[in-house]
Amino acid sequence: MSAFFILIGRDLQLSIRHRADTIMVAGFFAITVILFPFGIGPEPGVLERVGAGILWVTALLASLLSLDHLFSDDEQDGALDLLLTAPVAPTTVVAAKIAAHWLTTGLPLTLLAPILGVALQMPSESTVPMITALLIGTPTLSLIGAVGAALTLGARRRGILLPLVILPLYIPILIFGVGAIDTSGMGFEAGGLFAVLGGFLLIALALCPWAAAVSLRVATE
Amino acid sequence: MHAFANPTRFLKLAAAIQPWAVGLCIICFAVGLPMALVFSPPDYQQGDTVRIMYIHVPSAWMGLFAYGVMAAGSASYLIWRHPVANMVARASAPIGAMFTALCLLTGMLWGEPMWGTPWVWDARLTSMLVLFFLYLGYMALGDAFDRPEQGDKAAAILALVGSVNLPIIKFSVDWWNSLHQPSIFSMAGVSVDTAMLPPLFLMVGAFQFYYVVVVLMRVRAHVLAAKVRAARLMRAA
Amino acid sequence: MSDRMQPPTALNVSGLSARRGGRTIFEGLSLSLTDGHALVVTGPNGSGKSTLLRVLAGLLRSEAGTVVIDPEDDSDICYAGHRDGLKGSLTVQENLAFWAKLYGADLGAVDVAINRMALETVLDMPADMLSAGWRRRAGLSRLALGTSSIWILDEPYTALDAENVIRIDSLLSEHVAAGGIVVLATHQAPGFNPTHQINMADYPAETSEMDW
Repeated sequence: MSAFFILIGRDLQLSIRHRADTIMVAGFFAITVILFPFGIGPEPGVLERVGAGILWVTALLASLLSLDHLFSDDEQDGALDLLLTAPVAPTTVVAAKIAAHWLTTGLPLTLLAPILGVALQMPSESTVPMITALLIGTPTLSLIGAVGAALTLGARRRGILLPLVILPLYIPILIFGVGAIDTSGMGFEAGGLFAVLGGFLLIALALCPWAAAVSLRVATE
Repeated sequence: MHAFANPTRFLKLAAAIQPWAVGLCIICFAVGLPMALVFSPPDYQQGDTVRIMYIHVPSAWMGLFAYGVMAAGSASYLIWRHPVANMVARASAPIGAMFTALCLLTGMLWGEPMWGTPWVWDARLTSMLVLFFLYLGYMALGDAFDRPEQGDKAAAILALVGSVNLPIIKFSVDWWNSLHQPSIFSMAGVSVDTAMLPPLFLMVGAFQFYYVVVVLMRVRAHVLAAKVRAARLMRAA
Repeated sequence: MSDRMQPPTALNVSGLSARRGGRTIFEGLSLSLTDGHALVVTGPNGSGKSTLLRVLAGLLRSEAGTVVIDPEDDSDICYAGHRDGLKGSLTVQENLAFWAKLYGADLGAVDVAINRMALETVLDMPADMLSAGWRRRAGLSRLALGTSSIWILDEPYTALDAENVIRIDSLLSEHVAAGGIVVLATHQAPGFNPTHQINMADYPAETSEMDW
């Protein structure tokens, strides 16, 4: 078994021990989405129009929550030093932790979204585009988020700093994620928008593990 | 490059440049400001409102320019570990953020008579707004660590990440804007009369020299503060 | 262990200096270690023992000088710092099994390591529930997996009782006898004869910060 999968296995094993964390993220996602009908009124036309935006914005915030301890748990108990000195490339360590983060955050959110979409009275035609957009988009959130988590490791007031650093970088995914759902919900061809989301994912895949690994080095120095 | 990497030599160089930059800055303002605000022709559609452009456009330019300097300085700091490059990058951020804020503010003042509302999600203004938040994140990250070196390096990496992201953000915002507001009157649509160009260039020059003056002052202060800190550490050790 | 060690491993350090917290900690440190060498690093608080070890382990960039490890294969290093890197919610067995898999140790190695550190009684306990001394033992059991030839240990004796200090000492001396390399930072004299010894106080930073 390659180091990448060993590392994913360990992070998954840990998140099964701390399954409350994943449940809390999903719970945060659900309760925050549910707040919007109270905030803007339950008129079907309005909710339907803003539903995709609500889901995406809330998904961004929810994925941010668990980034907080993506590296800091390992940093605090000293495991990060050991991982970085182990016979594994730091980018592999980072990539595996990102993959585990997505499996425990992005994936559950993606699976939960269609149910919340019903609550937001989104048209049933947008269910498949919604899942597809989240499936392509949420890994990019984990990738960019990992860079932010690594950069802010050991910072003061990290809980506020992390969103400030990361959220501006999330904007393109938000724009095209919502665009893809809305465009296909209205019955238009949205293949190009999914392709753009895919392009973002590829760019992030190429750059983020490397940038996060460099940032981790800075943090452990 | 290496010639400027040494802070002491940089201080000497800065001291030589500083008076010239101050002088040029004053001259550009002294000539450009009256030209822009009084003597240049009003726009045939917008009247005197167009004079906001002489602040707005150079601010926007400086907001982007300072980010470019920040990214270049950060790269040179990370690759060659030039302390001065880092200080220039760190010093550029608040100035760039201020110019970006000025650009947004004048954009709102301009928007009021033009659109009847101070804020419209115009593609350019929106991109500048995101740029402002990139600056905020950079400055907050740089100051968030007990070890100053960690803040310097983390902020430098963030500046590079941001510079990769900026074109993507620009592209996304442009697309988003075209989707939602296909036919809004854009600020880019001002037809610039040739008589407007000299004051515009003078204002760009004034802002540019102002930037040089302030960066040099900030870097100087930073070098001196670092020397004080080093001296304290030496005594403690 | 020994069959992994051809060609001989070497750790060469020359002109090393390191900065931490904006200050140069030590300067001009050179040493050369090869198979069967044990280096003990001593020195007063703040003289840079941990910093040196972190540079050697590749966690910290040196300010000047070089660290060359031959053959250039970082699978050869096993670093043990102040913190044990144990996951509190995993059992000792699970913790050790993870490192064994990551370091590519064979299956039997885990049992050997457990036996060496006498961890049998705590295997199924979550690492959170262990006392400091037991945690240390569980953390150091990574060494006994036998996958790495260069061991870099920062104060391994902390929290250990006399019996376990001896246990670690014999583990270290066996490793050296089998041709391994040990770099050990410690306050107390180890129970074996190191081949090399340096005092960090001999490498004070002399470059004035004001120079730049």
